Amino acid sequence: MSIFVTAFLAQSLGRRDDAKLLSDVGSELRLVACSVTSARTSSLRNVELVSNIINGLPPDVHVLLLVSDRAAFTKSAENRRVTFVEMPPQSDISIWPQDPFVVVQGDAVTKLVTPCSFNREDDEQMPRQLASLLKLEVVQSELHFEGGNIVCGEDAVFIGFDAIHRNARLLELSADEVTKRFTKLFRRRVVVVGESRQSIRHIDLIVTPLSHQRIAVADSRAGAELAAEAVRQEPALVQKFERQCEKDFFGVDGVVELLDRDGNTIKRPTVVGQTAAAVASSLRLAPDLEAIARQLSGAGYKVVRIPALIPDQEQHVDKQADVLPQYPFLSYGNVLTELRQNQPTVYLPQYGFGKLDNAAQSVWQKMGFQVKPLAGFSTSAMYGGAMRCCTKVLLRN
Amino acid sequence: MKTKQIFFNAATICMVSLAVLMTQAMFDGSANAGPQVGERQGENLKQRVADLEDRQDEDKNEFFLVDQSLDDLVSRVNRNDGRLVVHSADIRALQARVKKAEERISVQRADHRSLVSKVAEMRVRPCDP
Repeated sequence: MSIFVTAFLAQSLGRRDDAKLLSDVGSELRLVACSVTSARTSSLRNVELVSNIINGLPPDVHVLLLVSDRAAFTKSAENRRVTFVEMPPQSDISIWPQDPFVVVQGDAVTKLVTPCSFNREDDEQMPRQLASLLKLEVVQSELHFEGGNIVCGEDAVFIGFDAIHRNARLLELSADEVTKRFTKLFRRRVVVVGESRQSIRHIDLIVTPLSHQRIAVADSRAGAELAAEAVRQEPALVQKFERQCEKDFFGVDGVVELLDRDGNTIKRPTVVGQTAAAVASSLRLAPDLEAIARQLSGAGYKVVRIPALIPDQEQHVDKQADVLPQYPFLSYGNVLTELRQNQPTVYLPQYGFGKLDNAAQSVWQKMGFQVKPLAGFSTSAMYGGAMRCCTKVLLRN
Repeated sequence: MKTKQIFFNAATICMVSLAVLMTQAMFDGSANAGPQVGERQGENLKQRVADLEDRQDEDKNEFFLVDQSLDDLVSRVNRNDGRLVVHSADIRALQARVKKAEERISVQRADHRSLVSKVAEMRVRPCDP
C-alpha cells in the first residue's frame, strides 16, 4: 500500500515539477494577450496597431484583449478570435503585456509568474485578470524582473545583465546565487546576456532565440549604414517617414501637446531631421551589440545579425525612470516566431522606413522564415517597443 | 519471525520515503513563490480557449476595433485651447495694469524731480531779510 502511495505521490510531484518557462521558440501560437488603450485615457493609443496584430496573426490564434476603458471601443462584429478582458474600473494600463509576468508551462499545468514588484501604471493587475479568466495559478516570485528583459530559447533562458545585477543588489546575493534562483524558478539553464550595465533596457529588442542553437542579435552598425544610405539616396522618403511618425503620434494631425491624467505635459517628439542623430547613436551602440554577439557565439550559439536603428538610449528615460517618447527604435528582432505546418514563420514589425523594413525581411527570409510583415509599429517604437513587447504568448500548440 | 522483520523494514523504508517526498512537496518552490489563485484541476488550458471561442457566435476573418474616444482627444485639445485663451486674456489684463502702474511711476518720478529742483532753487536763493 505504501509503495503505491509513494509511487502516486512521486508521479504527481514529478508532474508538478515539469513546468518550465514558455519558450519563444516553438510550435504554433494558440493563445496570446494584447492590451489596448483609448485616446481619452492614454497618450499612447494603439487601437489600429492592435487590429493589425490580430489580423496579421493566423485565424486560429485566440487573442485576449486587456482593456481598461471598454466603453471607448466598438468592434466590427463578434469575432471568435478575440475575447475582451476588462481591467478593474479606473485602472490604467500600458500597451506592454510582455513585462509584468512570465508564463511557465508543463504537460498539465500553466502558471503566470509575477516579479516581486512591478511599478508601471496598473500593469501588475494584468496577470491576475488573465488568470481569473483562464483559471490559472498566479505565483509571485521573490525575484525582480521584467518580461522584456528575458527571452527563452529551446535549451536556455537568456536574461539581461541588469536583472541579475538588480536582484543581487536588492536581495544582497551574489550574481551566481541570483542566476541559480532564476534557474530554479524557470527550470531552465540561464545565460546572462552582457557583462556590464545594459545600454538597451530590454534584451528582447536586440536578442532573439531561434531553433537549432541559432540566435539573432541586432546589428545597429548595419542599420546605421542602411539608414545613412537612405538619407543620401532617397531623402524625400526618409522625411516622409519622419513626418508620418510625428503625425501618427497623437493620432490627430496638428496636436503637438497634451496633458496626461496627472496634469503633466506630453509633447510630440521631434522626429523630422533626426535620422542622422539615430544613425550616430546606432554607431555608438554597435560595439556593445558586437560584444553580445561574441559572447553568445562563444557560448556555442550560431549568431545571425539583423539590422536595427537605435536612437539615443540615455535621453530615453526621465528622472523617474519613465520611458520618454523619441525617435522610433527600429527593432526587427522584437518579433513572434512559430513553426506552422513545419514552416518557420516570423511576425515582423514594420515601421514605414522602407530601406530597413525590406532589409530585415530579406534577412529573415534568408534564415528560412516565412515572413508575415505587420504594419504600424512606428508609434509604439517611439516608446521603445514592438511586436513582442505588445504581445504576450500564453500558449502554443 | 524473519518474514515479519523484512516486512517491518520494508514498511519503514516506505514510510521514510513518503516522509521525504512530503517534505519535498512542502518546501519545493516555496523559496520563490506562493500560489494566489488555484487552478481547476483536470481542466486543460487548450480546452478553456476552445470554450471561450464557443461562447462567441460569428467568425469574421477581419477584425476592426474603433476608438470612439478619439473625439475626446480633440475635446482635450479644445479644452487646452480654451484654457490658453483664458490665460491669454489674464495676461493681457495684467500687462495693461503693469502699463498703468508704470505710467503712474513716471508721473511720480517727474513730480519728485520737480520737487528736488524746487528745493535746490530755494537753497540757492538768499533768504529775505
